[in-house]
Amino acid sequence: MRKLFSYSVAALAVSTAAVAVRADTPIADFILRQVYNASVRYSTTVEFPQRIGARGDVARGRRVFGFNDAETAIDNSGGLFEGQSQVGGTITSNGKVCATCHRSEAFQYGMPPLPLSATIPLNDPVFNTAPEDGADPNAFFNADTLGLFAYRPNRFNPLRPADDPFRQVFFWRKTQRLLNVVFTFGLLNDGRFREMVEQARGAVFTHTQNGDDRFDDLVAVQRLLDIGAFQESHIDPPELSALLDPADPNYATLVNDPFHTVNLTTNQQRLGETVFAYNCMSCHNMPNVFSNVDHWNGPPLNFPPLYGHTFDIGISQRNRFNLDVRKFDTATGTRVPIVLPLVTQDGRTVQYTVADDVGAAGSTGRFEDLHKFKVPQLRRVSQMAPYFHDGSATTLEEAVDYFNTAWYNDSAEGQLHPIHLSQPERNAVLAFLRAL
Amino acid sequence: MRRIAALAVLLPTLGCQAQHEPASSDPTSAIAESLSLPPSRVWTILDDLVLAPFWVGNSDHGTLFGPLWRSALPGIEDFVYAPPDGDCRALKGTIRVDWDKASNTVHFLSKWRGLPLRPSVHRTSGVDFFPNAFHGAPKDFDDGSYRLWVVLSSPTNKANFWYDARTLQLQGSDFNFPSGPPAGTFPVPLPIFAITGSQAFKPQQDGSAVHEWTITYDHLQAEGGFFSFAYTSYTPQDLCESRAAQPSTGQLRPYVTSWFPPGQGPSWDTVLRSGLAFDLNAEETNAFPQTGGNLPYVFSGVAFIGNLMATQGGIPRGSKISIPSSIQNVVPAFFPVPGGVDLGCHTFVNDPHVTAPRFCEGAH
Repeated sequence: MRKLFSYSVAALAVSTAAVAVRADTPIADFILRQVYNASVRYSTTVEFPQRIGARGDVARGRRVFGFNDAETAIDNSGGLFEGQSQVGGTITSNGKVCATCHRSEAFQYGMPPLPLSATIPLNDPVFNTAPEDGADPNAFFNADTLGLFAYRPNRFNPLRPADDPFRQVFFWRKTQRLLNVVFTFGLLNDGRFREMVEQARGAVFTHTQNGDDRFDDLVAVQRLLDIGAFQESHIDPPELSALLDPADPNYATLVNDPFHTVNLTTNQQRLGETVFAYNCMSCHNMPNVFSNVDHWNGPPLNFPPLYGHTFDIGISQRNRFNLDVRKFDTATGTRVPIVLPLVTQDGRTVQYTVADDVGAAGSTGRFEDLHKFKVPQLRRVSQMAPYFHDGSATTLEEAVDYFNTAWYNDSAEGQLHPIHLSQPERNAVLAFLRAL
Repeated sequence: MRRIAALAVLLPTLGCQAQHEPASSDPTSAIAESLSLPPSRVWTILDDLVLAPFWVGNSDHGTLFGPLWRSALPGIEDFVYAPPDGDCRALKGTIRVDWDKASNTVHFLSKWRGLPLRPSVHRTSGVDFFPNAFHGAPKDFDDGSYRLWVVLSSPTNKANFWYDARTLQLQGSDFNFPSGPPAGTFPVPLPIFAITGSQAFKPQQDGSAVHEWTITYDHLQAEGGFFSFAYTSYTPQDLCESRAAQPSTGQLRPYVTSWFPPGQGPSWDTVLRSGLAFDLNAEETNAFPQTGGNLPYVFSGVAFIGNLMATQGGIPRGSKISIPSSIQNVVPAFFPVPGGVDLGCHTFVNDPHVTAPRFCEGAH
């Protein structure tokens, strides 16, 4: 037994060949990530303890969200959080409401096609991204051309000093579409929010005011619950609602037949279903929704983030649009690298210079969470372009083709679940996805 | 690096020892499979190497095995103990919990290394000890021992805390007033956490210790079954020093109820869904026959070694979970342990919120 301790790292690489350690992957980090990934007591039961449900009012939520009652126009008269806060002082709005970025149902409550300025006037609040973008000179281009907005996930953390790198770190992300969000464990692209109240509160703080001080006293929990109920109400196809209630007569059918609500009419689509089940459902495993079913076994707030299951599929590292995530110093006009102290599973602190979207690690502070993102749902996916958190696949074909690349297959998840689709398989998966 | 190398090399080997399952080729499966063996009171290589919680089985029948580190889970205002020689390098504990609903048992096996033999604590009032009418733990003790606390970290349970409408001083919680609150008070609902624990134990001469006990699955209880659990919380005692919209900037002090009788604890599957955590405290050694060996004030507030199993990876060595971050709902909730975990480690008071500005008087 003692002799085992004298094994060299080279011997380690040989002995762990069965776990597919790659030559270009730091062995220790790979193993630590495995240990970290295995340390969760996930439940795969189709249940939704995070659901707002009847605690919120959909109609009120629609108005707070920023729509008129008919949902035909943006109405920010009742949706802004501004005023005199006992905590944050005078809070002013930059005119944004939720509906500023989560446009109508026609866009699945996301943004319209790019460039945004083709359909949205330049004086629309969506282009008024200060102060969350830190006056970054790329902000307008990224928003208009790429549909990407700057987010500082920990901007309002009062327990860390203003210059703490976790308060400074930011990333460029697309607007999440809200279709079937009720079936999601972990909200936003990186899953950092555990339930809708957290998500709505975070969005309010991020977008609608003038400074970095919190103003919780202006944000009544009931209004957040109402926003959550409105967001949860977008279910398509409608029969998916049965998944929310184990007493529903169709619940067991939808749970046990993951494709029950998918209407396939061609042999190619049916082949695509088989290819999808074999290659894609290690992550897209929520029956009939095709998000990810894994979640901590209990109510979401009982567990520190993350609540759901996130994955690194290499999108961040590819950084197709060369998104710059260095802080822009307005005083000098230069960019300053952000260095995050990320804790590893064995207790080390890695001073990580941010060069791409750090994913969930920006919120958890864990090195093993670098570049991890949640799994999106796939219903009506053909209408959801662009794809991935950075919008880096502009078409469904590009999104599927990504999984055939080395970027995916060399990623942490790709090493565990490699995908190599033949051209017929690729075409079949596309046909299947278009049927969703 | 050497430790990780050993981990990777050894775990597949250990997997071959599993009696009921085929050997696994990857480390995490191998350690999980090793948990199919009965728990061992001997400190094994797995106890050395385990870096994160491992869960196997389900809510009815399963096992948890995980590491416990210095000051990974200190409470607000806890005094975090350090060995007198200031050397924390050897400190480590592990916990293995095996539960089985069919046999109505939950078995805890805790193993420890590096524990000072007779922990003594001497504090200075107003400096590192703050008298508390709602938590009557002693300021000093000698020749102490250890207890392992089992904490349900769920913040979703709430109780009413009653404040005098004129003075805004805390009078007590629902649990202090079973016949109803005093006149002239008003309620503030605040989160409460259930805790229960082991009996006191002492380490061997070499600083090692093994302590195990079994409770029933259907009702959480303290070791020996004399009590079930107690509720604890962090509350403002002077509501004027509290800021509802940003509680982490206000007064937050420990509060604990009396012990609840046996038979009132939740079932183990509820415990699992409530965010399981562990915290070894240094405690005074008195026998406390009137409370069946349990501390009449429930816990000392002298935190030492613990972990939060209800977060992915647990808390890594050298980090601590920040309860104010959880209360304020902000992340990352990890911070370095202020007193360190290596040579030169020292005691400290964790996240004290003993006093705060008098917000009710406009002093922002």
